[in-house]
Formats: sequence, structure tokens, C-alpha cells
Amino acid sequence: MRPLLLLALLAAPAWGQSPLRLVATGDTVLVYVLDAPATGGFIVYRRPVTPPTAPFAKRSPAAVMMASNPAVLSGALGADLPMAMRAVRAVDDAELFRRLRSDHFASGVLAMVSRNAAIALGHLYVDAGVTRNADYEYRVVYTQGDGKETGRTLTARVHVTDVVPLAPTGVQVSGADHEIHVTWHYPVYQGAPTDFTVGFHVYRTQGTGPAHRLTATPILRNDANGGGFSFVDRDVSGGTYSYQVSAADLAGRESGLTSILSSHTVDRTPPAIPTDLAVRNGDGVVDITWRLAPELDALGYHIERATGLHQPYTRLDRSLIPARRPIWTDTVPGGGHQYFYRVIAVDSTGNASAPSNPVAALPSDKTPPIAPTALALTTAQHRIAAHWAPSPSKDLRGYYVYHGEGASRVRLTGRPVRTTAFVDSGAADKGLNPGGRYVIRVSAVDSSYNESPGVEASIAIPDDQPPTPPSALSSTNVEGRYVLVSWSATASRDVQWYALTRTGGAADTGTRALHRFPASVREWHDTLVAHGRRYVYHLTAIDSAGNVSAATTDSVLFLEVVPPPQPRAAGARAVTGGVEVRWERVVSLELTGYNVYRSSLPTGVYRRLTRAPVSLLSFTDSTGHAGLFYTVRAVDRSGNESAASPVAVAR
Amino acid sequence: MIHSLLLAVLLLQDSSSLALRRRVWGDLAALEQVRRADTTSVRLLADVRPALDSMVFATSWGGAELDQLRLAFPGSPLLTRYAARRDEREGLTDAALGEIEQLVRLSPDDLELQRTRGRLLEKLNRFKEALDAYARALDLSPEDDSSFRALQRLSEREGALTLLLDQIRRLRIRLPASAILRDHEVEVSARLGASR
Repeated sequence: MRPLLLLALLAAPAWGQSPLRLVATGDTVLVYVLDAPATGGFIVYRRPVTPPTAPFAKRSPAAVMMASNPAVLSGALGADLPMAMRAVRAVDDAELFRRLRSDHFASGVLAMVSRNAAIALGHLYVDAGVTRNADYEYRVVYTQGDGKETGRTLTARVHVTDVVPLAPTGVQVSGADHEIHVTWHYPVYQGAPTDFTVGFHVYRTQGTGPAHRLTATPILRNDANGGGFSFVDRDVSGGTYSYQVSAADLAGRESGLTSILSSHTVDRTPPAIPTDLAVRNGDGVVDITWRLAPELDALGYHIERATGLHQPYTRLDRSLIPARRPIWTDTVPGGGHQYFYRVIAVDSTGNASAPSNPVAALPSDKTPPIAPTALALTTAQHRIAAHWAPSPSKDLRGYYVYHGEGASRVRLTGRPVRTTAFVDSGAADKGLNPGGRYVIRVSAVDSSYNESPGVEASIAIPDDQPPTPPSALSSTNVEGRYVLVSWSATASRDVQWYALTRTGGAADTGTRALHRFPASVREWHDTLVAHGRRYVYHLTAIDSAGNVSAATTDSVLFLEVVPPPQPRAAGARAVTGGVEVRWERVVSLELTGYNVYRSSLPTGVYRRLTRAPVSLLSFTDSTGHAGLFYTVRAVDRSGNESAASPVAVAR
Repeated sequence: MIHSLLLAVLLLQDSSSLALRRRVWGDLAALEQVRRADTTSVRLLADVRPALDSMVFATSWGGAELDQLRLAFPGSPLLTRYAARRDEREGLTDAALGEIEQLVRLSPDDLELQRTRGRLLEKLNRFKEALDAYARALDLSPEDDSSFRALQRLSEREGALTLLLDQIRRLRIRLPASAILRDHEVEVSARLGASR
């Protein structure tokens, strides 16, 4: 309704002068009565101006009135029906009829822009049959609803000649975002009797095609804008368009077209925001896809990634992703983390859409990190210190450290350690077994707990502790032939040798080292012994590191078990001062002397007279006398006594 | 007598044409008024379409009347669509394509428009662009068999089955549970294998 309202500004002064407007075109005069009554009509009379006495002749056979019902009104409007319905915002014939009947103002203005409307609404009578260049006087008599004339009349004169409207001036054409603006100027209405211009038509040409009119009804001449008019052509795509403008009057006559002016549209409309983003999570990669940009001028996409929904986004592509391939495979720096992606569409003009809604991805990580290198082990105080070069993997969480002996490996670290050093201090921090050889294995662990292959190194804990002494050391005289030295194994497992030393022999100067035995030996026959000597044996265990245990000691008195031969030819003779006993020498290497025994009876008990063996071959019994019985026994170094010599009677 | 009868038939026809014309104009005017009221719009659209079909495609004067309607309702997508159909029927494929592309700019998500665009481009032997149009149609409705068949046929002809396979695999990311897409992938893979 706004355009009609604006037109009213143009029409109002004219109405103040006379609502009767006569428009001559060809051999026809259009008789407009702009304030035709809604419930009545008017009758048209005409007479030539010359001679002045010529009578008025009735031209309209019946009163010109508005259509009597909605159907007739719609039919009479014809092609202008949609325009009329739009103008008064009617949705059907009945509403259109009601509104035009009740809104006299709208009805009058509509009559000015559409001849069909003017006729249908009872504002126009078309008087054909006039003579060109002749002058006529018209009289309009208002009638009631029943067609009876009232006393109200209007008169006006017209010279029958075609007056073509003036063409618009100052036409300008400028391109904008998917639309083209056309502006022009037209003189403000001054009340000239031949100025019937009510609006303008705009014509467009594309390429070499013909010009066609864009305006179904004229663009109304609204002088409120001071003679400036505009038209926006939004029915354009890319390309260059040419425009011309003409002025149109009440009779539908058009002025000549203005000169052709061209312009082209500018694309400032960004593409639609990409939609339907979807992801496929892979092993360290994410495939992101989305719907094809629907715009025909879409050029490509940018994709951006963030580590959090509200974190800054980083553009991933270096050049546009082609419009026809809306997919991106992103190799993420670390699996097991959530990432957010968004996409921006770009058109061929460079307009970029707003970012799409972000889509979340959670790629898996099944790729182990790169193993650490340069594992080095050192030991001190029964502990192993391990150092290694870090893994270059970016998503590293830490390292697992394993401890092993032989083929078995036991992980020492419950959680990955972040440092590149670790100290294995043994169970309960008591240190590792001295002499043991241990393997340390280190593997890298990433943020998804994938574990790299391990790097291993081994080291021995120095054995600085002596073994426990051997037990059950025993030295035994075996029939006077040798000393059997035997022992039990030490509890220490790393014993490699047993060392046996001896003291007590005539040749022993201090301690004599006898022998070093392998750990498997448990006894030794010592034959380098002399009867009658006491020997002390010391046995120590020696481990692989050369540590020597405390000594275990045992001693043995090595004795001969075979007595020497009995003395022969023993004889006793009473002498002054006692009894002298004599005997023959006994030949024995280990003889140390002789013991002399006496008894009062030949078969009685003999009592030893010598406190220690005598080395001579005679003995004087100072308390003896004749009649006593004597016997002699040889004694060796082992204390063995020989059998008694034959009994000798003192005489 | 016969003359009178013929005159009566002609008058009846003329009366019928007038009624049809009035109905179309009235419905379009009403549609123009309620363009924003969806439910009413749908109802009116359902009313006007049969009348437009009859007028444009079943009368001798409908084509010309359509031009008048387009002048009266400039920019009407409905009328542009009918104009494209009319032009295609009359062999004015270039003009029909221009109208369809104008509509695509207004409604780029319209599956039918993209399919029609593909068909028109194919008629004009602009096969690469036709492939693009069918690809857009399939992208809009990944399980639409018609778009798939058209795209497959043209891809095979243009040796672009690999691109089609790529597109189906992309769509499967969007619709991983789609059995139709899975079947399409198998089918295209088989054809691709056979063509090698």
C-alpha cells in the first residue's frame, strides 16, 4: 500500500482543482473521475467547443459504476488482478472487493495506475470517436446507486492530441551484491494540464538479447523524493545487464526509452555455512567430510582444528580444498586426544562463509612410539643407575623400566616415568645381590599407552662381600697313613674355590698353603704329614670376585698305629744300688725310647718304672732287688708301645 | 444447427479457459500474499499447481500466459520452474538451464533442481558440469537411487568412476550405517574393476 500512498501525494493537488481528468490519446478521450462515489456513479456528456451553442450529448449509455460483485470486479481487473490484490493486501476476490469498495482513496489511486482498475472501479469512461485536433467540452453528472442523476456536475475541456510523456533523465546504473540499482530523475508535478505521467517502466537487456520490460505495473511517480526514483533489479545472476527507463502516463503511453546503460552484479554474498560435518576416527588420523557447498560459484574450503571447543583454531590447509572434494585427512600429533574441526566455504569471488559448527573427533592411537636409545647402566652400592636418550616421539607419556635376570623381565615402574633416568635399588630398597648380573630394559610409552620395543643393557653388581665360611670341616687320621680333610659347601652360591692351609708340620713355617680346590671338591688327602704331629687345617671359601670367607678350622694329631718291634734279649742283674736292666736295640725309624716295667711275679702286674721313654739300652732300678721280674717295651713317636720283651728275672 | 453447436462448444471452451486463467491468477495472487505463512502457502501451492499444469502444458495459450504471469510476479520461483519446464519441452535447453540455475541460486539445497540441472547439462553435452550437478544431487540425498544411477551412468561414460567411488566413500563417513551406500560402493568398485 505504501506506493499508492505515495502516489496520493502527487494526486492530491490535482484533486483539489478538479477530480475530472481528460486524457486524449489517438481518437479517444479517457474521462477519469477520481472521486467517483462508491455507491453511485456518473454519466458523461460531451459537446464540441465550437460552435459554442452545440448541445451536450450523452456519451455513456448508462451510469459508470464500480463492479457490482467480487467476481465481476476480478474479471474486469484481468491481468491487473494480482497487482490490485497486492496493493490492498487481499487474499481473495471478496476481500479485494470489500477493501476497494470501502477504501475510496485506494480505489482512486489504483485507478490511476491501471486502466482495467479504473474501469472496474467506476472511475473511467473511455470515450471513443472523437476527432483528432478537435476541442471538446465534457460534463460529468454524478448519479445515485439507482442511476438517477444528482445535481453535482463537473466540466472540463480537452484538445484531442497525443502528448507523449517526457522521458526520464539522469539515469544511472550501479551493480551491487546480486542486484543492480537503477536511478533516474523526473520533473516534479507542477499541475500542467498535459502532465499525465503516473509512473515509469524499466527495461533490461542481457547480452545481445532483446530488451524486455521488468515492471508489470509502473513504478509510481512519487514526488516526495524530490524527483528522484530508483529500481532494484534482484532477478539477476552474474553477468552484465543493460537498462533503459521510460515514463508512462494515465493513458498507458510511454515516453521514449532512455539511452542504454550497463552494469554488472557484484558478489558479496558469502557461501552457505558448511553443514553435515562427519568424522571417521583412525589410527592417528581423522577423516573429516561435509556436504558439498551448494553454491554454483563455490571454489573450495578451509578447514581448521582446535584442541578444545573454546581453544583457538589453527588452519590446516595450505591451499583451498577443492569444492568437489569435501574431505580432509588430518594426521593428528597424538592419538587418544579429542580434536575439534570446523570448515569454512569460499566462493570464486573470495567471499568466505562463517565457520561451520565444530565437529569432535577422537582418533585412536595404535602406533607405538619410537624406542629410546643409548641405554647406559652404572652401578654403585648394589644399585643400578640407568640413563637413556629420550624417544623423539611427540606424544610421549614416559618410559617403562624393566628389571631382569636371565630371560625373565619384571616391570619396575607402575606408571611411565617422565625422566630419562632410573635407579634400580632392589626389593625393598635393599640393593641387588652382589655378583648378580642384571638386565635393564627401557621402553617408551605414548599418551595412549602404546609401548615401543625395549632397549636392553646388562650389568653385573660387583661382588664385594665374602662368602660364608665352609662348614663341617673335618680332619681325620686315616690309619696313620694320611689325614683326610673334608668339608661341606658354603651357603654362598658364587663360591668358586676353597683354599686349604695347614699349620703344625715340621716343614710348615707359619701357615702352609696346601691347595686351592674348585668349588665342587669336598675332601682332600693330606699325605705330607708326619706321625706324632698335630696339624691344624684352615679352610676358606673364595667367590668369583676373589672375596675370601672367614676360615673354618679343625685339627688332628697324626699318629702311627703300628707299634715298634719288641725289644729282645732283655736281662736283669742285681747290682749294688739296685738292679740293672739291659736289652738289645730295636730297629725302628720312629723309635723314641724304651719303657721299663717291673713286677714281683712273672705273671703279675707290671708297673712302669720310666717316667718317659729312655733312649739308652739299659736302665738301673734303684729300688730293685734280686727276684723281681722286669720287661721292656719299645716306644715310637706316636706313643705306640711295642709288645713286652721276654720277662727277665733279676739275679 | 451444426454451426450453432460448434459455436456453443467454442464458447464453452472459451469459458473454461477464462475460468482456468482466472483461477491461476487468483491463486498466484493469493500465494504472493501469504508467502511467509508456511501452512497456508503449502495449501495454496497445492491448489495452484494443477491449474498451472493444465494451463501451461495443456492449452495452446498457456505458454504465453506464463510469460504474463512472470511479468506480474517477478522473481516467482514457482513460475520460473514452470518456465524451465516449458522451455525444456520446447527444446530451449539453454534457456531452461538458465532458469534452473537461477533457481539453484535461490534454493541450492533443492534435490530436484540439481537433478534437473544435471539432465539439462547432459543434453547440452556439458558432461563435466553435469557430473558436478549429479554429484551435488547425490550429496544432498546420499541414498537417492535416481541421482546415483544418473551419476554412475555418466561417470562410466566419462571415465570418472574413481571420483564417484571417492564420493560414495565420503558419504559413507557421513552415513556409516547406510546399507544402500555400502551396496553402491560394492557396485561401483566392481564396475571400476571390470573397466580396468
